[in-house]
Amino acid sequence: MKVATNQYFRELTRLLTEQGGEVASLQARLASGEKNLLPSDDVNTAVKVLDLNALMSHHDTQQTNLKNLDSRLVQEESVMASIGSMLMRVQELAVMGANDTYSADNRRTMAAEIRGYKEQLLMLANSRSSDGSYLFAGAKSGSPPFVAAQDGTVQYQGDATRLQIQLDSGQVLEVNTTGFELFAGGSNTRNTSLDAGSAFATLENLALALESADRDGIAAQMDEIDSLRLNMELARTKIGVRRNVIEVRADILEEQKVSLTGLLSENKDLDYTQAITELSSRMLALEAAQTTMSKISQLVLFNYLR
Amino acid sequence: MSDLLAIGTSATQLYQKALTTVSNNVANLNSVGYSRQEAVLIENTPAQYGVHYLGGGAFLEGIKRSYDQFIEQNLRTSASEVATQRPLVHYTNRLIDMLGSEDNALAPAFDRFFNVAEQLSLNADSIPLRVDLLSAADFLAGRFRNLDQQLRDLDTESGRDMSSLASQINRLAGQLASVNQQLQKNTVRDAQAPALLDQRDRLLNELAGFTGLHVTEAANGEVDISIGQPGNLTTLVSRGTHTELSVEFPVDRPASQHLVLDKYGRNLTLSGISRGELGGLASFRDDVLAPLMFQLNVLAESFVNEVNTAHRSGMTLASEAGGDLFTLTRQFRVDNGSQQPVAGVRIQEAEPPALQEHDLSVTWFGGEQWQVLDHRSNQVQALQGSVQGDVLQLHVAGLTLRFEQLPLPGNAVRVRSDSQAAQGIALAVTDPRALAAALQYEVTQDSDNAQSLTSRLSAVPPSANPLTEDIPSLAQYSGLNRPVSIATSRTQPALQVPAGLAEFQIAFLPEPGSSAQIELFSAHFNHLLGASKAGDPAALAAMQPRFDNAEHYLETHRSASSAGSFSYRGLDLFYGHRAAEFTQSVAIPAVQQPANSDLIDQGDLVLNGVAMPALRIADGATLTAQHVADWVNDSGSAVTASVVTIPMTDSQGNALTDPDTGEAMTHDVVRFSHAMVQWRFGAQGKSGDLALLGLSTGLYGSGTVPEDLLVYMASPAPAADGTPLQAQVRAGALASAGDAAPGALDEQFTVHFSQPAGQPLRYEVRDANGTRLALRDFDMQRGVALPGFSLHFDRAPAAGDEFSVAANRDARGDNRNLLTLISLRDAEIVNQQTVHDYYVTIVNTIGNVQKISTLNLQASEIIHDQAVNEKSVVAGVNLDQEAADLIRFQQAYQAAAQIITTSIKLFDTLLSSSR
Repeated sequence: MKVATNQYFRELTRLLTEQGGEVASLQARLASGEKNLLPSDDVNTAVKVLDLNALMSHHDTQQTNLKNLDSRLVQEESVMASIGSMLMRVQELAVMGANDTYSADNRRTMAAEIRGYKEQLLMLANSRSSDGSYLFAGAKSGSPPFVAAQDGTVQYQGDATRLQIQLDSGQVLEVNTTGFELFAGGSNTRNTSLDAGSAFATLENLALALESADRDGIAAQMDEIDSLRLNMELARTKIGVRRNVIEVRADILEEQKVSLTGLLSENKDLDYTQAITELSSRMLALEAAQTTMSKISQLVLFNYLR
Repeated sequence: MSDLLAIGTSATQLYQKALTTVSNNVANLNSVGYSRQEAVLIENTPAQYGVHYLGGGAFLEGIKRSYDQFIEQNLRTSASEVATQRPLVHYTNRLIDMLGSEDNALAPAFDRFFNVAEQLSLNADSIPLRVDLLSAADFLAGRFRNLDQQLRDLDTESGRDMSSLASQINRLAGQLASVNQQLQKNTVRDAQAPALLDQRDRLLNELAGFTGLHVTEAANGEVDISIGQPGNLTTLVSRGTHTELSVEFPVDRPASQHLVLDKYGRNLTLSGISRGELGGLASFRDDVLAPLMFQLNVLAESFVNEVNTAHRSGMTLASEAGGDLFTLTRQFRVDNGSQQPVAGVRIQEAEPPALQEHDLSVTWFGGEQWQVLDHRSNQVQALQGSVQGDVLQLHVAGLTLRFEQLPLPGNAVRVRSDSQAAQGIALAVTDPRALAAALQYEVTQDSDNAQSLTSRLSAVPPSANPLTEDIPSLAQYSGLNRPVSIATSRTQPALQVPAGLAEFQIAFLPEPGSSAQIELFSAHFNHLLGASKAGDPAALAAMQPRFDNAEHYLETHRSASSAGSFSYRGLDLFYGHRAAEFTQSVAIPAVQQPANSDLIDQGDLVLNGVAMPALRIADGATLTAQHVADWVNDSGSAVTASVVTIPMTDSQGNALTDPDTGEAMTHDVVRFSHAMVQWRFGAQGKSGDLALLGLSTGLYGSGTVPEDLLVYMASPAPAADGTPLQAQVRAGALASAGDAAPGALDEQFTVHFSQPAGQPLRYEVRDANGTRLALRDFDMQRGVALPGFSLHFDRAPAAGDEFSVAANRDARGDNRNLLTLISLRDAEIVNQQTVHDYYVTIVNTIGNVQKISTLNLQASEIIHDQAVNEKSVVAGVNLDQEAADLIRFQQAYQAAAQIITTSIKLFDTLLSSSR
């Protein structure tokens, strides 16, 4: 089959430039380390990368949230521990105060100490997190949940809202412990002063009972303190459970993140071995094309017409 | 002559020409579109000598141009095909780079928005995190606008490409036409100059790259060229003339174009270009770019609507209802149909805005008569607008049109909406405290409740009540005063009064003696006005279908018709007839006094607080205005009555004239004078009593309507059901749904559960003042339905349980509305897909187009290369072949020259022999 001379040269040139182009693109990819220089090189991969990035960033957010929640729970737990040990001391005082061996002066000192604890309890119950919101106020975290009136009674101004966050597994995690849960074992009622603030009333009543050497009164208040301690333990246990859930979830997230990172790298990163092999074979082809072209183009009949 | 010398000389000349042809081929080795020429040598006619023929040498028949018509056609077709795919590949690559790159794509912006929202949900009152969320939202809106702008730039660029291609096509068409003119000089193609034919073919090939061609070749080589879709071709070049192609871009639709032939002459619209670069560009714009822009708008609009709906049901840090988080500026175009804009028209959209495009032609016929043609559904409606001063107003298709300049009567005004959501999306909130993370309402449980339940409040968006959708609503009479025909019925409501209406009035004038009356119910079967139905189970059963079947009949706040004025939840109501000073009755009906009864019994009517005595005149006498006036004046009420004579008018208000005498007719009416004349009913009073005095009976409401109400036009006698009555209806302004329901955030509701013996568990809803709103059977699935909310429990409440729902103030740490917002990430809110998946699908779709057109390009390139090769086999110059021909013809020339030498020698021999 006849091949026109200029067609022959055109074909060869085209092949040469094509090969040259491929070599150049391979070289660019080797230099950048990316499998695809542009999304249009491989749409499927580009889309997968979008999906993977979405998952990764969501995982990061969840991990941050879990960490922050955990540190809040740690703080809540330590407040409860302090309250717990305080209540224990109060109980000791109550036992001592019920004992006749102590004088009225001693009892007054004890009452003063107990009142001191009441102040401390108020401070602890109004604890704030690192960003300034009140820990035990339910959703009304902008203002102190426990407010002392002029006459010394303490009212709970917070609410009973249990805040939650959602995890991507569909799990729901409780965030806070309300004032009700802290002191009253948790209930959602409209009767705010009686239940949540009664811890303070108990301490006040105990102090009064000590001062007036009212043994029955002291006994009654000791029962109250017992149930307060029980509620505190219950709340602490709940926090412990939540921290466990967080730990498990954080571990799972970490594992998932590792595999996501691997997937992302598979899609985005260049396989150097394969690329370099391809480069050498293309360069070989290019060289061969160039050499043959220079040799064959010499063969023209006109060269022999002398 | 067949002798040596002649043959020799003709042969040398012949071979000289042949050599010239060969050298021409060699010289044109690299000329574009050159077809190899070959000298065709033919044997000369031999001379006859007796029985022998002596050959006469050879002559040049012609220079043949190597040409194959079918190969040429193949070449053109394959060139068109290749050129079609190139713009698709080029532009889809650019689109994918735009949409799929990690820096530019929309998906990461969504991710960032939702991720920051999740972080905020842990600390809903953190101002720095709120600022973060606002900036993430702003970033998202900015990305949308950015992408939209890039797409518009592509639209402009590809449009410009098309325009420049069109001018290239015109240039080539013009050149082809002039080539045709030159070809006209000969009648046979083989006689045409090869160079001319080469030029023609070259032009045709170039043109084929721009658009698919249909070429018809005449006998002399002239060509007619048509373009367009197969089966619908239009002529571009016809012999020596050509028509110009131009591309037009409609203003209102992005990425669309019209191809027009002969714009300034016959202005033909092309059905479309099928192939070639122009066809590829058109296909890109129609099949890829335009749908993409539409999809981006759909994504923006759906996302914004969902986010805004969620945000509006939340509470900000300042304890106010959340507003819109994003705004979409929707463009409206108003013109007079031929693209001339019309000024002075303001358009407002109903809230929430419908996700629909509008394309309406609105024609005003004077007064309040309008006609509207919806171009998308091709339906014509006659509508009534309203006139307020110099401003015309019309409600149609969810829009309120205000014409501040009078339009031309009878001339249509075109109103089109441009839902370019991706262009107009912007963040509406700048203050971090205005982010509505909390719920608007909060549930508290009474301490006496049997057990502590977990409850969940969810917002229920306002929507039409399916049970009463078909009942005409007073909202359509907002700002108007209209007559309405109502059929009496004891069980079907006649009208609905929507919540938020500022005031209303429904008045009717029945026959004298009629006992038709207005009854008023709330949408929850709470009886507000009328005779008790408690003892009429049949009537209750007949009315129940209009109410939810769990609703029970309540009449705690029912006023008997005789109450006159009463109020319900801030709405003041009056039933009877009420009029300001100097009002007069209509004409007193000419009623005859029957023998044994009073016309109006004692105490049936109460005027300004005074029970009226019986109205009785002489037996058989006809009631006149004077009788009535006397009766009123003798009653002891503070109202005085006088008789006046006024002209009679028909229903349109035109004065009536006596056909016999030609004079205006008059009648006597009673005029009442008091600052406020109030008639109400006594215990046995009925509307017919007022009708006897020429007075209408009406229900007057002032103050904002607190909830949806239903108006019944009832008649105690069953036989009277279906009697049509003419009522006059007036209504005030209706607060739009975008404003919070009146006093909503200050509302408080209580829910009381009870269980009468043998009955299912039921609950009662009361407002803050203890007004009973509804009594319903309780169902765990449906929960408790409250205005705008529903309340669900994890376990069934017990009889005696009480809950209250109040505004959730100062709940700075409440993140529950934020959780709703966050859940939108995984919700299928666009075309049954999440926002991320919808976007990814868009990118994938374009990726598919790219892959297919790349494969098509590769395939058509192979075919095109084959066609080029085939042509070069037929028409290409091979140097080796030419060199061989050169040697061949050179030797032949030498040999022919030798013949001449020989013939000279022969002649010399002949000459020398005769010496």
